[in-house]
Amino acid sequence: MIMSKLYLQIMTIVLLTVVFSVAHAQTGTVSGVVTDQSTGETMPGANVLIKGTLMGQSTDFDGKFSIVDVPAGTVVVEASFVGFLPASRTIAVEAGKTVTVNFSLVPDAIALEETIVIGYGVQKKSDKTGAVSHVTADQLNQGSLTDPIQGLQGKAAGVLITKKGGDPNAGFAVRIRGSAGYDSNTQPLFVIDGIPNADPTTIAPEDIESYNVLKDAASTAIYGSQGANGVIIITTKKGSFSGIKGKKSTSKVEFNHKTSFDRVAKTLNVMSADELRSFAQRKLEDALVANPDWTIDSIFTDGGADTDWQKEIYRVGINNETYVNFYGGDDKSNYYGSIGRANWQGVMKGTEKDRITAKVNLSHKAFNDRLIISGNLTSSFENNDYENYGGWGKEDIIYQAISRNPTDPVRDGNGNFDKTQREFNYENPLSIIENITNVRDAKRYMGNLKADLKVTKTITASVSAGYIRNDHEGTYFRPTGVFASADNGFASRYYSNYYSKVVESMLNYTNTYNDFHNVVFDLGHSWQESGYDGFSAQASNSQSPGIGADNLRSLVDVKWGDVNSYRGMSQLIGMFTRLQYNFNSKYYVSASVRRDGSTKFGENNRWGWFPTAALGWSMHNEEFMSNINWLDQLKLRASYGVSGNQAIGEYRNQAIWFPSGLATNPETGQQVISFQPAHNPNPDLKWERTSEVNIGVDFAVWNSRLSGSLELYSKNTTDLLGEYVVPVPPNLAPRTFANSGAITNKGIELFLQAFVVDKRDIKWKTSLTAAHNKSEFTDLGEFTTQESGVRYAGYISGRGMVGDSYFLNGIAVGQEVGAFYLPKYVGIVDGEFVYESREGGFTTKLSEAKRTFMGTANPDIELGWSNSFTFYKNWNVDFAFRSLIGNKVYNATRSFFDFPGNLPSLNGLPDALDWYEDGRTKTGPTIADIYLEDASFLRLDYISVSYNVNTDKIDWLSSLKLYVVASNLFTITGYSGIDPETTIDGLSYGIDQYNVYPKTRTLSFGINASF
Amino acid sequence: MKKLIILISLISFVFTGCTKLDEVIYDRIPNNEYPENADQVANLSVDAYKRLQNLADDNGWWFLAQEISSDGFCGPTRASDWFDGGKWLVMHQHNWSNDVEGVNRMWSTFWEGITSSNQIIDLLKQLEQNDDIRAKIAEVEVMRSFYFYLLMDNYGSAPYLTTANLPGDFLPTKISREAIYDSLVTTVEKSLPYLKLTDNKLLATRYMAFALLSKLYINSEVYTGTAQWAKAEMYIDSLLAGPYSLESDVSAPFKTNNDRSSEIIFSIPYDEDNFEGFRIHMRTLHYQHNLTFDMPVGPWNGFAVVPTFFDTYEDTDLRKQQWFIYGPQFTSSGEEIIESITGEPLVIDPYLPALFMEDGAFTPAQIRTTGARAGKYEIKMGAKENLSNNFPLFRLTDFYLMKAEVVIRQGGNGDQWIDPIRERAGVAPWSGATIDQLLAERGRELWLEGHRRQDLIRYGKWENSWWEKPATDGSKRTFPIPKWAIDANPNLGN
Repeated sequence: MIMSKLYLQIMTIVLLTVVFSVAHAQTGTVSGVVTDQSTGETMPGANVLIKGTLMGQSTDFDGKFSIVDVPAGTVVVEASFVGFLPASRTIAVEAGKTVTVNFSLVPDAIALEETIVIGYGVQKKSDKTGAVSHVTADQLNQGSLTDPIQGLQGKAAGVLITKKGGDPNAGFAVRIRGSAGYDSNTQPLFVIDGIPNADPTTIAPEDIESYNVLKDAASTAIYGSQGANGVIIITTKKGSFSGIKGKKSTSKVEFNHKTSFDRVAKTLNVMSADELRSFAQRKLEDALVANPDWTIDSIFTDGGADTDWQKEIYRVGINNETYVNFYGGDDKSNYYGSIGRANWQGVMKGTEKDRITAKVNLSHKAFNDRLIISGNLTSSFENNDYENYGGWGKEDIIYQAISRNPTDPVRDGNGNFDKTQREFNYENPLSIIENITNVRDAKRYMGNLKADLKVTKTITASVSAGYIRNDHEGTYFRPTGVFASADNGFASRYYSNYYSKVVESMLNYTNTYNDFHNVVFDLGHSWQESGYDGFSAQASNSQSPGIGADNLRSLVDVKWGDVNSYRGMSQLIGMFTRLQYNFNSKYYVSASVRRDGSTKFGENNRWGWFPTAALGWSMHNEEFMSNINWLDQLKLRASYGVSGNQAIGEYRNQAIWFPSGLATNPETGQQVISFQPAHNPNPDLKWERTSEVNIGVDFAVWNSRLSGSLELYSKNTTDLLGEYVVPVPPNLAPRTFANSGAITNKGIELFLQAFVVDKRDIKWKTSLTAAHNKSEFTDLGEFTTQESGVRYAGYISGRGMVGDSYFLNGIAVGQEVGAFYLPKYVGIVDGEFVYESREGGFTTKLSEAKRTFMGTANPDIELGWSNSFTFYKNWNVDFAFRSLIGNKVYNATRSFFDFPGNLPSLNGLPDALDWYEDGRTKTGPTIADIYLEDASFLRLDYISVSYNVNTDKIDWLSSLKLYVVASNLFTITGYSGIDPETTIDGLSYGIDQYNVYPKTRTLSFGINASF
Repeated sequence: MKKLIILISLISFVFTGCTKLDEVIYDRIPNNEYPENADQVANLSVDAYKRLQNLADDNGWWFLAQEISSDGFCGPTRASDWFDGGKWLVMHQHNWSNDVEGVNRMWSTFWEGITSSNQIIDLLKQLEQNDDIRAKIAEVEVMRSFYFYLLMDNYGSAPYLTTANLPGDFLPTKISREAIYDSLVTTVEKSLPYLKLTDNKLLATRYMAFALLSKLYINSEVYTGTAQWAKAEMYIDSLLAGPYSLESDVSAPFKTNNDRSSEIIFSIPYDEDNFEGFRIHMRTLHYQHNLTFDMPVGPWNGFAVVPTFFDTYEDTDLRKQQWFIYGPQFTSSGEEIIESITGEPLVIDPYLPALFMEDGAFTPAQIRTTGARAGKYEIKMGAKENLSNNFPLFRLTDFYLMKAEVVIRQGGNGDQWIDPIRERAGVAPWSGATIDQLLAERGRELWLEGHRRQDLIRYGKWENSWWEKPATDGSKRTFPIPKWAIDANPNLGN
């Protein structure tokens, strides 16, 4: 179906092109040179065109142009280049003669004529009507970035990028303007080079030219159903037609290399062997009262050693990143290619990430430059080595290292890993690291082919087809003898594939009437299909440690459920239209409508409408403002839009039966498969809708020395997608997936950029992003509330805490998303925790304790402050701070490790000693408000010093830069745990439960060279 | 004109894209296609039996709730292990709220069985009715009644539903325990003629229905206030006349391969690989017992026999010797097991000092090695995390003792039905056994089979204190309806 559609569209373009052959009349030639007025140098790549015609050219590498076949008569010749004010001249062309016109272009006020990328198009920054953050490559974070998105942290106001810990194998959570859904995915849509749903880890950070973040509904609604959580458009570097400005050659090769050293920033301060021994002694003294004949052996068994288990599992990680790219072009085609390899050796032993990326971008002009065919192909190959650390099981090495008794040695007398068996789930983390294989191989491909045809001088038609393919393959093997407890080995292999196909076509009409009325009109259609399939096989009872998982026949036990496969798909179709109009760049109106349909929704509600409207007023272009010389830009914007979210799993709208297990047919005695309904049907399942109002001000003063923007927004997300429990009967299954409830997000964002010092020898550029977002549940709808309107979330569990009362968050109307809902600790009576009880008195039972809302993990203010200093043209010092203020974190690590009853058999925090003195003997790990802490922090994300070597004398070397970057140098915070930063995603977060891959302090050395 | 043609062709070009959404389901069966063929129809009723799977462990909690709340078994806290928020302690001390795991999960599990049965009955009623289909419907109605019996026995009053075709916003209301009891008795008795008269231990046969009716009638005084000993006796007699007989080996009905035991009337067909859900051995055996049984997994060292109950067995009682694990422990090759923390040979001391043993108040040896463990269900060599022993829901011996009970309660002498049991166990027979003696014998014989709670309530001993359990009032005879169920359906709270 796609193929025939594509074919049809391509044929249409071809036909139309042929129709338009230009007839020749009496003509002459226009030629000349374009120079840069500020430097006097010639400008290759400048655009020169004959206004009112399709004739034009780019200047060659000497800045010269020569346009032939110009109709005789009066013509207007216009020259332009990005970053310069356009210039035009009216001349007379005579038949058979050549007219010379030279241009000297004046550099424009900085950044106002930059283009930003919006959905399905580009816009001049000065024409912006929505809330868009534009961040270019030079503004991104530096240092050793494990994922490209890390470069954007703190650079775009209202875009909160978080990651708990520093695992190179873990990803970042991105939250734009507090986006929250109930059970839907709230990550923004990533569009890379026009391909939606792309995976940003597929590209190398060095490939990125700019990030454009669409924040308000007016900007994102053109992506309709996928835009509710914001859209991040990544544009990668491309070659340019006619080479590079200012250089003789038309192509460039760049080489980057960086080596980094990672150290663990902070570990948990559990007790040392001697501290534990003296605590055991203390316990003995108290026990002797009732049992006078006890010795220290009655209290605990001393392993005899002095081990710092955290130190044993961590190391200094060395990362190497090498990257080469090359690009260039002439007036007909341009290209960009890159290949890179990065290897991150995690600071936790047994973890590593290795990634190779390769990219090609091509563009080619044909048919008198009317047709541009562009394509890009990106691939990345990744190998990951994992260690488990998310729980408190035998293989979770962070938990095992923190709780393991420091008196136990790493190895026993025979040189084997010590396997003392003190408690349930008590294992030696080094045995796990060394013996268990847990790896993954990921291949990601992304390709796009696009054709843009300038049908007439005002109408452009384009069609594009894109394909994404992600293939993952994993292997896990555990031989016998790894654990102290009995285990006979286990092996598994799996593969999981994902694909996404996109075919889009668009019509664009751009015209100016009477020099004042600028109109851009778009019409478009998009068809997408995504799907996945996977397979896994596992077995236990391994008989060959050498073969492991490579030949699953070497294991004995396979049972039903060990072999599994799955497959699913969904489709999305959208049609959109957009009108952008401005009157002489003073008054702006734009509106768009998109209609989307998705197979994920019920048959009654498959299609949705997503309209937007926006107004803008460039006040600085008004007559009455023309005297204010110091004001370069003052633009007011207001917008309203509706976008939708459909990021849930497939098939939720209908009842489907799945094989749930084996059962014995009692009559025949045979095994049969038992089928059960997965969830209830819901033909009314529909889009989650976000409607948003955004008001913005963009300003620039003092020749753009100071510029910035301020946004105020209010978002209302209704019909939240989520699963809720329903009584069975009358329902078929106990869970229904439906729309209900509403969340609002209101906030303010500020972005400031200043060139504080702009002298010849010293330059200082600074930028500040600040944002405040408040999210609130305004309606819970059908999501049944457990008690007096509060729904519980944020369940935690661990040793000693297994049950339904251990939840930390409360969801209730009028409360913020991620609000903590905790019981108040009063004191200790008879060794037990006492809480305020719901009835008004006191209780020792957690299930009867009165809970109160106590703040949230959402920060009140997010701040990012970046600075760039240039000294004597060659030296650069950049640094950036990031801060979250007012966020709270529940320190669950303390909950699990401060109970004195676990000691001295297991290790714990020194807090346990204090609790012991207070007489806490009965209440084990539990929930209380005393564990909630303020986690506001100020962090120096990185500081880099770089030196640009003067390469003027060397003709084969275009530039050479040497640099040093120190990342995460220090953090100022009152939080007592390892790190105050937690992942902010979903509905319950801000819980710091020991299983955090440590954040690191990194020192990087690098070299950038271009030829 | 040219421009118009261009415009039209361009717009149609843009919209040659389709607007038809095509959804394909690959790895599940859409509702409107299920059941897909005759084989699936024939297997429809199997799901009613599949719902028994969760009864024996903490997914469904029923078996654990009946035993650790009674005077024979418990889940002690061993320092940092097994406290788990108190969920095992509250069951033994009758201190539960309407929000503990046992209460929460039993309710869902019973309702899963009831709803599944109703869904099957609804599907079957839509097919062409012939004798086979009618027999199937009767069979599934008896299974539904079994789940309702468990529900009513544990929770008292509850809704009673006989179909799953209900409007989406329907919120059922409760009826009294007595009303449910009446419906169950009527339904099961009405189904009797359709049920098969065979010795199939996994099927709802007519004998299984006799067993169910016997249980309903013998507990009638608890459920309705009016005793029905005579009716109970009638059905017990029908069952005793069936194709079952006592085994000569007291442990035979609990072996790994007990699926053909002559004593078992109705059971759950657990299998270590294909039908998991029975792992009492993991909960009770010591950490190092994997050495005794060559297990590939390490047990969890928890549940133990209540010491006062342990003492109710005479030393010659074969059941005490075969069903309890205590004393010195050895590996499979006969060597002593050295306890990994105390460093001494592992000796299980049946004298469990307390229900809650904290570090510091008790020695590591006391914490880790006290309390006799449950070996009643054979733990085979190489046992994995789940057992393959079928779990007997109805066993002939139980009905022998029930016969003795109804006879004694109606003024007669029950010895002839008690003595074969006692002699088989290697203890002296009685003459003129009293009702209290019978209760004690039921305790010893039917230990760890899910009957103790019901027996203690029927005999009026549930409120007594024993060992670490304080005396309680009559409100603990049923479990409260769980909070989550009341929140989803407020009618359940009235």
